[in-house]
Amino acid sequence: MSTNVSAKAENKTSGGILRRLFEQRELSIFLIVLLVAAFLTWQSPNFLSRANLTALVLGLSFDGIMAVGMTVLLISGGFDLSIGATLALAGAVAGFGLTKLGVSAPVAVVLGLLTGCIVGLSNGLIVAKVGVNPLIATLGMQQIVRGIVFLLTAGYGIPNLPDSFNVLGQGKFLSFQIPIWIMLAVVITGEIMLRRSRFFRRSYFVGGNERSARLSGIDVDWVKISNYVLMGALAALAGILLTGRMGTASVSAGLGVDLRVISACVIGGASLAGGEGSVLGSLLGVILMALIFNGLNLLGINVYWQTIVVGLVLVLTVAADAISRRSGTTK
Amino acid sequence: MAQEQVLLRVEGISKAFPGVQALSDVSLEAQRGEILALVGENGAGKSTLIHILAGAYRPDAGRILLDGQEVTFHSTHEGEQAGISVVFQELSLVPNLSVAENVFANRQPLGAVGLIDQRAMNRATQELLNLFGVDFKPTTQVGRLSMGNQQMVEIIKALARNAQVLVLDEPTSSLTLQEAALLFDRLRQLRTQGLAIIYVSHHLEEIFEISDRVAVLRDGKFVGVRPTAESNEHQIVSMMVGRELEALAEKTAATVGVEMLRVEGFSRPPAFQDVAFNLHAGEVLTFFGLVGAGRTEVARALMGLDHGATGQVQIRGKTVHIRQPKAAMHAGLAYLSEDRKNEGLFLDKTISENFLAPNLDRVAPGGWLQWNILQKITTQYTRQLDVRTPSLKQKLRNLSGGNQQKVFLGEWLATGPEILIVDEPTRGIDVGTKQEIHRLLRQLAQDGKAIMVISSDLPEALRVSDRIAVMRDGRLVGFVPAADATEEIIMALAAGVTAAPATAANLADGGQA
Repeated sequence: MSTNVSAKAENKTSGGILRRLFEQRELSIFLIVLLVAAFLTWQSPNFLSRANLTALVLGLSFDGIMAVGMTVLLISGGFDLSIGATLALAGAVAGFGLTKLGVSAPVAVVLGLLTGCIVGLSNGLIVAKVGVNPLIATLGMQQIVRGIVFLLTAGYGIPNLPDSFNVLGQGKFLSFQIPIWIMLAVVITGEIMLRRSRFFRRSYFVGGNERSARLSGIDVDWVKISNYVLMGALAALAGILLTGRMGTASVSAGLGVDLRVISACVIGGASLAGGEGSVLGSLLGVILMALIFNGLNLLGINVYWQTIVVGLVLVLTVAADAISRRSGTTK
Repeated sequence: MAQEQVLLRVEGISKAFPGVQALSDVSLEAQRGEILALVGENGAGKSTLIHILAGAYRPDAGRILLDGQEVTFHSTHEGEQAGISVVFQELSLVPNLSVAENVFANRQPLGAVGLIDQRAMNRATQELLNLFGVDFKPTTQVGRLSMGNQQMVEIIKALARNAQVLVLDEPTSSLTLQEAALLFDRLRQLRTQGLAIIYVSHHLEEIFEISDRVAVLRDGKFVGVRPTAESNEHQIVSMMVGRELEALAEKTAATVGVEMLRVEGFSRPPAFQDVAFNLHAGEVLTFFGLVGAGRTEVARALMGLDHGATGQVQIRGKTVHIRQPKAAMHAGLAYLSEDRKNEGLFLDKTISENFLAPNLDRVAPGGWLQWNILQKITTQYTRQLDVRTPSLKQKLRNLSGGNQQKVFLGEWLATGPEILIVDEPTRGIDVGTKQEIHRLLRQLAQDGKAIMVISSDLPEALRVSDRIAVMRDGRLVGFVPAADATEEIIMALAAGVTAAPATAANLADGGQA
């Protein structure tokens, strides 16, 4: 029997280092990102300009921040469609506080973040304790939260926010905009936590096999709820930064962000079935999507092509994964 | 009985699964108008045989004759069309649909434009219901019926397909006594209509109440068949367990230490009631019983997986109230579920990652994972248990069942439990690894662990245990010291045959070791 097992394993490794490297999702996505970047450098002289690159990175900061929360959530078998609405609500609450209640900028930020935590907590409780499917729970939450945004801003948004608040989105530190630094901090922390911290590591087990996780002494409900709270908080953080950047709390902020972020994470190797994914992979997914948008713009291609290309990339990466998986498990 | 009475004849059926010869050369016949009981221990091959009759499995050798004609089934559908209907233990009804829709599933009568003729379907169902004298309507939603009535619907569904041979697999397992009595009345009625009924059951009382003949399987072989009226329970039990015992030489007497676990008046109806036992360091106590006797439920309640149990649980003399597996682990318990693939292991993760799951606290003392600690414990326990794998990065899915079980044991031993509960430790495992695991359990007991094994495998229970606790229908019905145990005594207790005086005395003193 032992020979049997080892023979099978040798078969697996005989594919060589190259094959094993390609089994690392991050690396293959990284190579695709490089390829796309090389292509754009060749096709458009503006691509490598400092202005274009900083605009590109600043643009993806918001999705990058949310992708960290979404990665953790997907790993634990969760899912959140309400992050776009939460993003808008956090901005609206901060704007409401600043203009209607006259609170200071730091207080407005805290209010916005708390709002995100509350939305996340509600999602978490509905999913983990009541047992509603995450798709339905967060879809419902999306509509509720978006409705609250409209109520809070009387449907028009809240313009002319004070500079003390806008500096968060517009200010620079070491010649880069603050959202970029915050995104980097969130991504690096997220990557380290997911790899090394006991708390975040639990998500892999919860998403991998919930019943086994429970029997292994992991408090499954608590893991799920805290992941939704984290997601809500990060969506709110993105919302505050975006609102600051525009100087306006917009009612339409974050439309379509939910599926875009989920797509980026899935491209980066996270599984909707749970148990798999990494922050680095998800960030690469966000970068790849941003590159494609940017490239289509630079090349002057009709904007309507953008969504088609993104859809194709999503389906193709997941299909490639499914095919390699199938060939890997057939015996 | 005349030859033409034989309706179903099974000749020389064999069936092998990887690692197991489930059936070898089994021949059997069932006559018109009889109820033939099919009995055997867990794993004797009953289930495989009825899956073959149903057309769900194809035999490796042998043939099936129905009314003198050889038949081959490629699917359960073909089996049903030929007239053999099997009612499996798990009901196949759709709870949201009506009785009539369930009875006519997939073969509803069609009306003029090819739509389902609701009225004709309800009328036909009503006729069948009248025949059975049951009081629900064709339009009743199945999910609203009692378990007993659902079982009736399942049988009516089989009859609606003009079944000649009706196979019932443990039909009373979820029925109350009254419901079972009603079922028996209906079966007797069907017998007079010339059906051949094959009745598979663990419960000997039922078999003596309902059957005309009893056929016994053991280890995949046909042992014999005898008229029920001319047999007694002890004869049947010895036919069931008649195998030669393997030597117990491996067992070294453990020195029994302090009482680690004491359970009193432990109840969680209807799963188990008034269970009381104690478990000492250095001892292996095996819970034996037929499937569904409530053994796993006791373990799950101890671990805080199922809530709502009443009674007292003491660990090292201290009363505990465990409501979560985490708390159970802190109290020194470890539980290895019988369903290791769904409840225990992460098949798509590596050996190391599987070790991490129950050992998160140990590997991450300050909240940060220390890979070297994980590496150390994984290496230590996979080596100690001789897990055969080329690498600790191997995914569990690629290991054999035996090696998976060793990883499972290893990761839980790494949590440092004082009380180890192992549910069906060798289910689905090859013979070689089985013996290794038995040796290991003995070794662990010698090292001072208190071990509670749950097993449906009688030879295993005899081989590894110091004491055997027998459960039946949710109650502990006896404790037998391994030294006094024979397969016959244990099986008689488990199946509810009048207990021998020696075992009754053992129960009276509360099973104190």
